[in-house]
Amino acid sequence: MKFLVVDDSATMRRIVVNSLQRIGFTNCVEAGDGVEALAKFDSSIAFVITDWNMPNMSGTELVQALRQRDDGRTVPVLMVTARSVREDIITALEAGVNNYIVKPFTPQVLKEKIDSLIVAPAA
Amino acid sequence: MSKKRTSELLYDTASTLRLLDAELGELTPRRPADSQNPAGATAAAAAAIGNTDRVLPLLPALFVRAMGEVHAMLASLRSGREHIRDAATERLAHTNEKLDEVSSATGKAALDIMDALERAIAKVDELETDDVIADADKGHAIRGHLRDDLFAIMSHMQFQDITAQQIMHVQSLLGEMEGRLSDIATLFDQQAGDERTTTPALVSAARAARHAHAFDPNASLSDSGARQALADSLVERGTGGG
Repeated sequence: MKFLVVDDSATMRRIVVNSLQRIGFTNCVEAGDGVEALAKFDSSIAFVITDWNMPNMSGTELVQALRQRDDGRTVPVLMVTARSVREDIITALEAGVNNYIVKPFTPQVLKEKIDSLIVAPAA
Repeated sequence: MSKKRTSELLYDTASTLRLLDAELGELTPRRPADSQNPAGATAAAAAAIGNTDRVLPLLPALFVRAMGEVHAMLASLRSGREHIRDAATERLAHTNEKLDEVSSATGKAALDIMDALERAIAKVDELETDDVIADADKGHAIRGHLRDDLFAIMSHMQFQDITAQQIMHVQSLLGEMEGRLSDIATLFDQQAGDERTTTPALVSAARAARHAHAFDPNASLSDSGARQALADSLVERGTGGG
């Protein structure tokens, strides 16, 4: 299963990628913002984990762009962000995000959210 | 009041005051070029009386206009003072709070990392005891816990992302303050007739603009459990699960 990990913080990308490897997902592609993520996204990507606040293109804009594409319409998207205001979370869900993790997170929470989306894929 | 409107007021006020000054100047009898020449003195006095007749009816309207513009100018200066006070109190206090958060976040992360390192070191020591060397299962369990502790250290590094966002927020606040103070300084430059109208490079503002979309002003390390619970409840509701 191939993951696309999108975050402008190199530290966060490494933490997420290492967390994924620890729970058994070793195939990861990284991107530093939404623009780079869109360029790297293709039908081989089975799961997207994205930050919200990024330069050039935000996480919500990325999800909206993915939902416009045939190959991105149903891909599960997990947002991992420091934003945790109610309105922000609703905005993300309305943009097409399937689940939401607030930073800082534990590997256990990451595993639970991924499992929930793999077991019950996005409609 | 906008910077443009304030500049217009400054310009109008200066024009009116110059006009007033010119009119008043004409009321002042000119000293004859040659005080020994009585004919010249008489002509100057007659001219002054003529000017007075022409200028006096205009003065009340001119004074009213000048007073209105000076009032507007004072309001503008008061508004500028409010900006400075806002920048100096609210914004600086907020900036101070954010820096406190950065300080406490880095302090907490350092302590968490130290705790995990101490646990890891204790487990490495335990692995070298005769008791554990003789018991493969026990050694296996301790190595598993050691891996968890090392991984916890990596997770604690998330503080760097959070504090980076907090610092970017501080930079944006500084940029905003720099912009306001620069606007006010430009106003005073214009008032003083300073030819230097170009604004100096706004370093903080430019830096803040570069990071404008790369941070959350509310980024925090605290209460992550409660914040995650809120997200979970909204996700559950949003996906029709409750």
